[in-house]
Amino acid sequence: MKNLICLFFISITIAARAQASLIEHEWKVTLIVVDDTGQPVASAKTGVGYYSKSQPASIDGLTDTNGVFIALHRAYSGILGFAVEKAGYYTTRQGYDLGFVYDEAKWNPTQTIILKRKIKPIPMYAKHIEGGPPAFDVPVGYDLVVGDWVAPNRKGLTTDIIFTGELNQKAKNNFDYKLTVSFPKQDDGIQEFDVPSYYLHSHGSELLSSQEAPTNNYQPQIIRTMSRHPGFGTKEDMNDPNHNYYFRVRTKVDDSGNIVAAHYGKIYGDFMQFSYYFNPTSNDRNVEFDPKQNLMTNMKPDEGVSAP
Amino acid sequence: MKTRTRFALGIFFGAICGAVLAALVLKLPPVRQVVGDYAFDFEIALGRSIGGHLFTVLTILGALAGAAAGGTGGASDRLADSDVPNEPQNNGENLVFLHGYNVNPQQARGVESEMFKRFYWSGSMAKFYGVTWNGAVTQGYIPGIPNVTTDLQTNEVNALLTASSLAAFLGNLSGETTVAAHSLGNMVVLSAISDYGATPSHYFMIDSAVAMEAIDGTVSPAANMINSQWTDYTNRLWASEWHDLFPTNDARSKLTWNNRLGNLASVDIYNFYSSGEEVLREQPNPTPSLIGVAWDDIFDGTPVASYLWALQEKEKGLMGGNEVLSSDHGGWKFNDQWYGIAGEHMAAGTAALLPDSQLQTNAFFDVSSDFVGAELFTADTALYGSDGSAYAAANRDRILSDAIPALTLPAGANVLTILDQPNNPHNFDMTSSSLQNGWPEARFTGGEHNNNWYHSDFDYVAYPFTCKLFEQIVTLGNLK
Repeated sequence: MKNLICLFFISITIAARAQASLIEHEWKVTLIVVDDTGQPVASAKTGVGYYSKSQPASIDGLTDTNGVFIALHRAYSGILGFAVEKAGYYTTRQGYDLGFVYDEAKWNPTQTIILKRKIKPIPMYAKHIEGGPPAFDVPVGYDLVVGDWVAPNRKGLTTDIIFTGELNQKAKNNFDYKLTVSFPKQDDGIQEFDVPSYYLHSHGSELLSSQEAPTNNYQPQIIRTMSRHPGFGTKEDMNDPNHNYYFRVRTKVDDSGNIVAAHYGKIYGDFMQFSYYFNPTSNDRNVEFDPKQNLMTNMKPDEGVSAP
Repeated sequence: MKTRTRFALGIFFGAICGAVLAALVLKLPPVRQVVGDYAFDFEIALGRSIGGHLFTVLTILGALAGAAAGGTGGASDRLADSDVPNEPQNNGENLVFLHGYNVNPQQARGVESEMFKRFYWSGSMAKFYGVTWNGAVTQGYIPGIPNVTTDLQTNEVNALLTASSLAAFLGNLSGETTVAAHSLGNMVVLSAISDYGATPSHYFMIDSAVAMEAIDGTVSPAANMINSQWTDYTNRLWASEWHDLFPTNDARSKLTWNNRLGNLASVDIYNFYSSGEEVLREQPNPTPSLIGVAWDDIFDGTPVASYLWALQEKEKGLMGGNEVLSSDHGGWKFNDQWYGIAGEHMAAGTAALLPDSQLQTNAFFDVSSDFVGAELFTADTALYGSDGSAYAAANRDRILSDAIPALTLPAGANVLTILDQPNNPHNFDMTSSSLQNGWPEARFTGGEHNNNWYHSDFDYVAYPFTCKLFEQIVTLGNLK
């Protein structure tokens, strides 16, 4: 009887397939590839990936002088993947969901792909961090160059960022926690930029940030909270994978309040699971990291950073 | 020559992935750090003699798991130190690993061997125990497709039936114990903790095929987990909410995935999930009708087994039988026999007026199948009778598995915030540079064109790419 049911089920699907196959639809993707200034990128290596009988396949080619690449196929594919790469640019990848039901507009999309330019990748201090400061309820500094906390039995020497974790905990799953990220100097600061992480979503440019950190709009602190109480679950605005940041530290100003020296950097990820990048050159807002030139040494395997 | 090269590479990556390879990696290109292919693996013996047993084995099949969860064909138990004369020096701690769904006893030996090697290469000095359980019932059910297990629900029940044996086993181990499990193996472990009081020191979920609400009852339902035919109907009518119609002293009030496995005590639990999952991926509505949309339209146009977990929840009650993908009763099946009008479902507005007292004895979803003969399923109509509570108590896990849809996404593809502690994250995305040491080139040249960490990549992708996962677990579990 099991076999009968199985045959019944298979026969339904085969019948449905046969019916669906009477009208075999084509999907057609038009990709317009531009750089981060909006200029078309010609001769970019472009791939439109699809699945046929669950096997990955790809239609590959180069964009034309207008930055356009067109791919079409009759192979049914519920999911497409786009990849565009060219020397001198950061690769961009993007997924596209065709869905299971034919939709003329959805199956004939035009997508704009932005290739960010590689302008000047530089050596930086880059490190991945998991976990918060070594003590609660007291401000603890972090040295971005040394890559450690400024605390007893730790190696940090200069406080670049101050983390203050205030914990009111009654039980393991009954607590309120507030993390304040602040800075030792008045003109230091941080500002958020929200981009879905390349690694988290496999979408977008492999360079999450801009090539340069902004000149202004840095905030003196940000606060993240997390609470958990019996029956109410966890509420938190921490660890958001879309959150990323630029920062300015070691800032010096003249008598008029003009910045005469500062170090810039960026953070991929949210507190307290993130990777930071620190530019060692004063007054250089470049945050384009060359992963082959990490200035940080003696890291554990899980502290390494490979994203630019 | 080839063998020698493989041996040398195996020693190289196995011994120094953590310490030296990381430094080397930093000098390699950022994403495509291709140091091998994912079909590439190491056939080495780590300097120990070949032929003896390398690790201990617990086989929870047959009588040990109870008849319902039983199976045959697993390796004999090897639990004593004398059974594993080749086991390397250990630190007195225990590392217990459970495989997932669609792994038969013979395949379990392969997965366990691979995990033993990978954890050892990553520095674990704990005694390794591979636990074989019966998670492959209906494997090969479809003729010509020998390695596919088509019925998740029966194997979910097996997982829950296996839990007491696992808990007893864990309770008898001496020394600190860490448990790691893949996919549906996590249902065995979570039940051992939640239902039977197991208290491992650390527990690592990998690609956990368990609904988040089962672990944390406060997780909100996901819109895409609701069968799109039912979105206009008030949730009071859904199978997932039927339990709410009963007082807490009635066992029918327990027919919910919500908090089913949420009694976690103080066990230190980590969730290694993947935002790049294919098997546990969220399936965007509309929910496909498997009659109207062909099977291969869904499954051939995506990475193998994409959306499978979500679809088996969203198709509960809507299948033509109970052996493939999902079930033919309960779930999202409209009770048109009672409430249908001229072949149509009762309108949502009208259905919303149905009183609780009526729904208690005749739900808006259909607890029965439509089929005739031996496949006609009407047993769950006993839920409506005077012994309905007793019937629910006796059949709870089976009913949950085949008739009550989960409304939340699986933990193995999502953050489970209840596990995080202040300053101490317990969720780790495996599709990330912090746990991927590059990724196979083949993943970038077709299909999704990206570095998604798929459901079984912890095993299928070669160790040089995945070593950070194992090193992280070894570090967090203090297994060195």
